[in-house]
Amino acid sequence: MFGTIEIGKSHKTADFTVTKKNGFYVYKRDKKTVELVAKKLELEIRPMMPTGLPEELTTLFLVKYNELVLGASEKTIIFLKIPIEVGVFFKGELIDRFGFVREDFELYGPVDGGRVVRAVNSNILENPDAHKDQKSAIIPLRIKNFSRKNMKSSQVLIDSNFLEIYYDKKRVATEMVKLDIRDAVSKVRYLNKAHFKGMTKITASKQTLKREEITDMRWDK
Amino acid sequence: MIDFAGIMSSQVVINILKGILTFFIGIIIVKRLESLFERAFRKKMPKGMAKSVSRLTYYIMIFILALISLDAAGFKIESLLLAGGVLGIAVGFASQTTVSNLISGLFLYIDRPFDIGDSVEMGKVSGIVQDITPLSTRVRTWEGPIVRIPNESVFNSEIKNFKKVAVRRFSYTIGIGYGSDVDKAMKIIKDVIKEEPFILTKPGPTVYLANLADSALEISVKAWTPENKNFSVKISVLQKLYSALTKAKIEIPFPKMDVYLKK
Repeated sequence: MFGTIEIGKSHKTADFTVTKKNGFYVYKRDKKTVELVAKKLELEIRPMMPTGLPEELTTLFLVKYNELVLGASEKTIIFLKIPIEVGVFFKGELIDRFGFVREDFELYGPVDGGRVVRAVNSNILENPDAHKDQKSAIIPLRIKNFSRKNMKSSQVLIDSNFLEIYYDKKRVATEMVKLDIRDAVSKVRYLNKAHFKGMTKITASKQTLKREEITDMRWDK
Repeated sequence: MIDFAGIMSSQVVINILKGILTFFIGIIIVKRLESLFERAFRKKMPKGMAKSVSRLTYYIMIFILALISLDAAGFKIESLLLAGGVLGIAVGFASQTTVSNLISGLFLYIDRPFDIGDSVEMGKVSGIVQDITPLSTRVRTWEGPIVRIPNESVFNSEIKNFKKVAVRRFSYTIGIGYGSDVDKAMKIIKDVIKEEPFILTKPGPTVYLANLADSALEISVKAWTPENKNFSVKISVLQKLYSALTKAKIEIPFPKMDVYLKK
């Protein structure tokens, strides 16, 4: 499903079709039509985080999972499963984006000062290695309680700008995300390393690798 | 014989030259300082205001420089300052409004109720802030024209800034006819709202029977959207609500009065 596809005279997938007509290519999906001019058409299909439909109003998404209670200084790794979107790129430019589930917006924080985020409900995967699905992504999440008391965790706020995505023929996954639960403000950090081996990497748009990117969860109380 | 007149005149010439030299060296320093100030102000203020404030600083520095140069040239600046003071009072009275606008502009800068690009409503004007200068604020209204509002009026008016918040609520009161199925109408309204992707799920929308009014059962609908989607969602949902309610044959009445005549 993902990767670069060379288009001959026509190409058909379960989601879109491309046909050559009058010297240019016509990309069609539902009501969307894009006419592309190229001698030899190559389209790149990439998995994307669920923040762009119907419009990219935010790059933040809040993944919700069953509540965990972490004892003082305890840590764990869980694997979240979230729906993804698919981006169709022509010469590096996004020409279409589509998804498979309805996504909702919600407010994270108070009306004055809060942020609009995507709300994504997730299951915790018990056996991520056996997971085979290209319409969802696995987020390896390491949660650590830095507090001296028990702390609850039921959601993680992720900025798609900093999140690297990996894919292979069977599945899509992201880099490992670290959630540091603290008494004051919990922090989300991005590990910049593939968790599963042998996958193709898509570099995050704002990932600089020069400094560690951090997302604050200041209203997570 | 000593030539006092000659000495005096040469001293005067020297003093004048000293004054001129002081002024020219001062001008170079002042110009340099002005650009430094402008750069520093630009980091903290809107572009227009930074330029104006640095210009104002420049004129104040020029005034001080002129006094220093006159002093160096041997003029008695006390009398000049006295005359300047009298002139200042006269100019002050004449430019009361300008000064008031200037001070309001300064307070607006300190208070920062809005920035350039914010969508605001102040008094009767609503639109997007285009520029903030020491004397006035320019707002591009939703109809297109740019309105210049004196800062004094801006400072004294009630300002609603929609950009300072990420979300905004809209509300309707929808009247349905007496005898209509309220539960059915509320379900239709909730379904229409649920279909709209830009309506936030948290804080969630509220739909309730708000009032038994004279001519209708009034249902209150309140929903939150991202700030920049509020108007478009509000109008599109209202149209969908009307279509859905009329399709379900739920009466949306207009004010009416039943009159019974006694025989």
